[in-house]
Amino acid sequence: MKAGNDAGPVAGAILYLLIGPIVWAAHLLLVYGPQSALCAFRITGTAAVDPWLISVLVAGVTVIAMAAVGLTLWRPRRMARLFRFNAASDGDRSFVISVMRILGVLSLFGIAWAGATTLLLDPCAQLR
Amino acid sequence: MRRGSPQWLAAGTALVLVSGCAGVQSALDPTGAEAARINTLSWVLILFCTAVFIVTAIIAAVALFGSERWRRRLAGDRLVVGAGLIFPAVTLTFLLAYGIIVLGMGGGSAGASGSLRISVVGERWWWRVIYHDENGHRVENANELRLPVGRPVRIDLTSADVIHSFWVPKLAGKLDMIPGRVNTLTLNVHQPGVSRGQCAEYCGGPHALMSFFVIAMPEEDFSAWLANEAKQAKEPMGNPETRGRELFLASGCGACHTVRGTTANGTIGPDLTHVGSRHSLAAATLPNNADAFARWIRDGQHIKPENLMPAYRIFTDEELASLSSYLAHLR
Amino acid sequence: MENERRLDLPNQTPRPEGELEELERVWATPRGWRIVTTVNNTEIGLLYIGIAFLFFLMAGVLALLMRTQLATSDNDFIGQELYNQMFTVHGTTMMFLFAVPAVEALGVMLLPQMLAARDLPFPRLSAFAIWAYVIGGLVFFSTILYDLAPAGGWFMYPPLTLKEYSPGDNADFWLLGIGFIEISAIAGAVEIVVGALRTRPPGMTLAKMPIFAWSMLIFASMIMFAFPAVILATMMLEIERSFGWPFFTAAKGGDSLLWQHLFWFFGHPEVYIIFLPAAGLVSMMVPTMARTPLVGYRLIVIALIATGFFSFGLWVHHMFTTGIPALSLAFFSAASMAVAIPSGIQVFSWIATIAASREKFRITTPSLFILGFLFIFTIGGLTGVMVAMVPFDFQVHDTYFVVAHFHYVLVGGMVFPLFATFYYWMPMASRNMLSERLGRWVFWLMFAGFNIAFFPMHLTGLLGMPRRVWTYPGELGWDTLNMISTIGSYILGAGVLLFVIDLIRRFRPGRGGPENPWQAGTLEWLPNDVYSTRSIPLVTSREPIWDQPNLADDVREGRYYLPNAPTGGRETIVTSPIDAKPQYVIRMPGSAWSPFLAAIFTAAFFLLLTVKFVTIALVCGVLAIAFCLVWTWPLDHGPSRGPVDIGGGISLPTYMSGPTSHSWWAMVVLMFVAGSLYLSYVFSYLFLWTVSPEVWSPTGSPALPGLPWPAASALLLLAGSALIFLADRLLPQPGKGRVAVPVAIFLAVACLVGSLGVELAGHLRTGLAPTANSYGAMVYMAAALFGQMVFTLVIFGGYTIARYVAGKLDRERRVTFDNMRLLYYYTAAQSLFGLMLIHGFPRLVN
Repeated sequence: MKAGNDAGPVAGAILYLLIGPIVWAAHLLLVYGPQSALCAFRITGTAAVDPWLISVLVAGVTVIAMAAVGLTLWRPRRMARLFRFNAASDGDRSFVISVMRILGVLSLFGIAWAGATTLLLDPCAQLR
Repeated sequence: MRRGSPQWLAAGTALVLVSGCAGVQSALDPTGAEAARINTLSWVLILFCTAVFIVTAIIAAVALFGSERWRRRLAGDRLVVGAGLIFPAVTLTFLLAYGIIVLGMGGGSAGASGSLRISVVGERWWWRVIYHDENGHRVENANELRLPVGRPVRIDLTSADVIHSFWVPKLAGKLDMIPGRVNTLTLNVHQPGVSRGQCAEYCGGPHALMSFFVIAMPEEDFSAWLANEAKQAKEPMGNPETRGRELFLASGCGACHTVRGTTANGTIGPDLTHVGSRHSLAAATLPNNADAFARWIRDGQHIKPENLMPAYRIFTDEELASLSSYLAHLR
Repeated sequence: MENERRLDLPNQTPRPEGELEELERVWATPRGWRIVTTVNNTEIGLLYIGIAFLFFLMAGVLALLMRTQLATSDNDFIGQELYNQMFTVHGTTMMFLFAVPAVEALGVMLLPQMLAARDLPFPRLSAFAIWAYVIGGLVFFSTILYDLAPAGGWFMYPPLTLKEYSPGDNADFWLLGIGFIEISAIAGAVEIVVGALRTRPPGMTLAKMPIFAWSMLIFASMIMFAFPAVILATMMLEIERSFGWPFFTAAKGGDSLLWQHLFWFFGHPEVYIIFLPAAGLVSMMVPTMARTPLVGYRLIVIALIATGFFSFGLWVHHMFTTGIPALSLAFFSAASMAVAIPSGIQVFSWIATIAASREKFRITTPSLFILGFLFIFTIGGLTGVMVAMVPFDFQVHDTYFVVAHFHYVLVGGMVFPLFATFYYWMPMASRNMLSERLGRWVFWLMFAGFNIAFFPMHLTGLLGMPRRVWTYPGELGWDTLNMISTIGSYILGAGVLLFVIDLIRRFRPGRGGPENPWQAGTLEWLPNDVYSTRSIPLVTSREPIWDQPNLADDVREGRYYLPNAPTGGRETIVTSPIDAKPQYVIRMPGSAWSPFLAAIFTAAFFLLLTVKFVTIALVCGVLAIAFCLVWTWPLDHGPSRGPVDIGGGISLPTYMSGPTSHSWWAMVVLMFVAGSLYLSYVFSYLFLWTVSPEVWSPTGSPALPGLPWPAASALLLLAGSALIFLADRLLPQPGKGRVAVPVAIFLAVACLVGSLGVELAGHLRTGLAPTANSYGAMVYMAAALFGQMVFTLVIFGGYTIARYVAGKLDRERRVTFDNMRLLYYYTAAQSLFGLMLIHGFPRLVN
């Protein structure tokens, strides 16, 4: 053991580890935010956006988010370089990479499930 | 109760645990379209979850007490990934889809203009009910909802003060009544009968005593009832009733209550024009009879603490009896 | 073989004469009344967990009283008003005063031991947070005794909790009392994040961290992001109650759903905030009882992180019946499903570990509680899947089904692991273990009682019984089920009572209990004392005690790092956050009156404000700040001591400034908290605009002040930031002075005050009133948040100047200045963004 610093920047490592969940959170924000705002606009009369546009928006954001997570699953080491992630030993490095990948898989489920609901429901109806 | 695959189980469980079948407020005994859809969903979920629980418990028991060979089989990432990740991912996909499909079946055709529409306004701690009929007439009553059987009716829900929630478990799931917002619920009742609803969002004070009855009637009975409901209050016939009306008008009751056809036109409290014909008093707190009226007027704050009608102890027993029989005769 | 020389270890034995005595002297516990001045994690941690448990008992008594009331229909054992207060206090106490503090207390007690750190990095902050919680919590709870308790439910939904519908100070006790306890929870979170990332022993990389440390790290990060939302909501509701700014009043463009969004954005993660640490504890105990490493360590880490994240995407599932569009509900239904997977992973990891046991899984009292937890939590998780299905929730929302569900999740998921923890980690706090024989009785009573009480509630709910009702009529068929539940609750209560009796019989605080009675593998079972372990080990695996045969002896004899107190004060090793390489030695403060007094006056400030004794409250507020300054004054001690040798040829500095410093890290964490609070505000602003665009400027409110106003305000912010930048460059060499530094700091703070003044004056000139409508309220709320930061910086700036004047600030000794600088830049950035939002957004959408 020697005194010293980490092999790479901390923020990079944290972001790298959390790519999947971060994209999932961004996806939720980007589908729920616009959808609920655009539907509220229809009630307050601020703007009347065609409902199908909302569905398209949700589907589009979902596809992009899934592609982003898919990319990191496919090329984890390239992503690691992008985030300047590195670790002291091979064991630690592969630990972080595998955690990142499985988190990505779980996030993919979350994104796909949320996105798929738009295929089954009218975007603004209360349905009660 | 409809005959259906798992529904005998509902009845069975309920019967074992509850003496007698008291289902006027049970979600397991649906008579409305939404409640029926949800009931089927509920039983699918209950059976699914029971099965998953039993299998998990068996796996845990094997892990604890099983033979060396069996335990070795369970001791690894394979169990974790298989049972903890893949199994839920697959089954939850199906469950979610089913749930969303059932959700998508909500709403419906009741929005058509020109048909019957009912507004229910949550008040502390009672329900203002306003019927808007096909001709645009507006009929107000309170603490009771009457519905025609066999067609969807649109109910507009809002609140006059705090948040309440409109819930008649036999007919549909609950929907909140929120100040400044109007939520729309479609009720489609399959069969005539009485069911009970209750406020399902805590609204302070006597939240527990804010209920109502829903009476589903055949179409023609409903029309007849609504026509009567639109009429002005009955004129008193005998002596105690006439005396009761005088007392009612002289004591200031009309500042809060309306009795159409008299000078009482207050809108703070429930409309009493046909109060005698209702199923219950004080938002399903008391039965509806002359005695209950008397108790309510004198002792309302004890029966339903903190309710917004002050207790009136100014009447003699005789006056109270007259007042009660006047109110009870307003049918 | 005491004196055998082990050349491969960092330090050699025998250790010098008097070294151990020195360590004991430095870490000694104050005696007598001075015990309240202690800041050591093992001592204040014990107070923390003890008080949290007391709240559990008291809120439990309320539950039994409520169950008695509900035993039969039309019962009038407890009246309506008291019942409404009771369920509010029961829920509030269990969530805010028991569950979160209890797990945070376990973090304070166990985390340093598991990391073989001598203490958490900010001991006085812990002491302050704990005392504030103790005083504030006790006063809050006592309101139930004199009819002052809030009666709005633990969720405090407006409009019911607005002045109009809840006059009296009752609701204010909730808002101010709980609001300030949330702040204390955040203080604890800062401590735990920095502790888990920076005070691990050398060699304990992320992949070797005990699961409990992972779970506490995620717990604390979740607090950072979840609690600010409810703090903002609490502030807005209190402001509306006191001054009539209509955030939640529909008639003036507010919306009661705003509260629900903010409250549940906190409230849902809260459930997992409570559950994750408990799951972490289970992941520590299961391997010990199985005598084998955890199966699926990596998967459990993944599950913890995933749960932490997904739990922030579930808040709308408490709002399924509010009538928002079905598709919105569907998004949150999907997220609620997603969060089920990580829980499944954890449950099957534990089962797999049990299956992997060497010989058989040991059935001890902790094991029983863990198995009980598995049983109950699995049911709670499955009913969680049920309520995540939107249509099903339409029926069961706000019924006894949900009461059953969340008690299965919370009692199963948190209380049972907590009792397992009490039995398992008792040697950390007491000389005696608890009785295994009584423990079995305690378990079976609690387990049976719990299930008898809560399982029938699923059916009660489906039969139509709503929550939060103090009575119900007999003809609905709920009597039998309720009676069964009541009987069960008394059996559960008997189990807890038996535990308390055993506790009184056997619990003797102090050291010297059995050493590693369960033959566990992690560092908290090393021989330890108030100073934690004698020396700090080099970690090479996840279960060091199992894998390094002589570890306990070597650590006790001081053959590992830092076996002494080289600076003559309290200290511990700081390591790098990922690879755990030693970086420097923190010198930590010892016992003091100041945190205790600061906590008393902070609590007094909030509580006196509640009962509207404004003047005395303000005096207490000033005293609280004064004592905070007294406590921090000696902390930035500078590099005077020079480096010390910790063994193994490693020489570490004893002072660190800049991004490596633990203090800098705490500041960054705090900035995340502030940022999260501010984002909640931005959300609220946009949300109210989507609901009520008609009150927005310029149609519904006076036109915004002309662009020169925000421009002037922004310029002042930029000028102030430039001055701080300049002061940074001008910091003098040690021993030198440079008057430009304090002048620059002073001017920078003045710029900030000026910027706030310009912003306020601009809006006042247009005639906009905060009480007019929700737009006005939001505009002035932005100024209030800005003002809050300005107030902090006025004090911080003055403090920094005072340090300069006292000769305690220079180019080397600069942690205070660095922290002030970070906060200043943050404030400037936040306020610039605020100016763009307030002045730009209405112009943009118009």
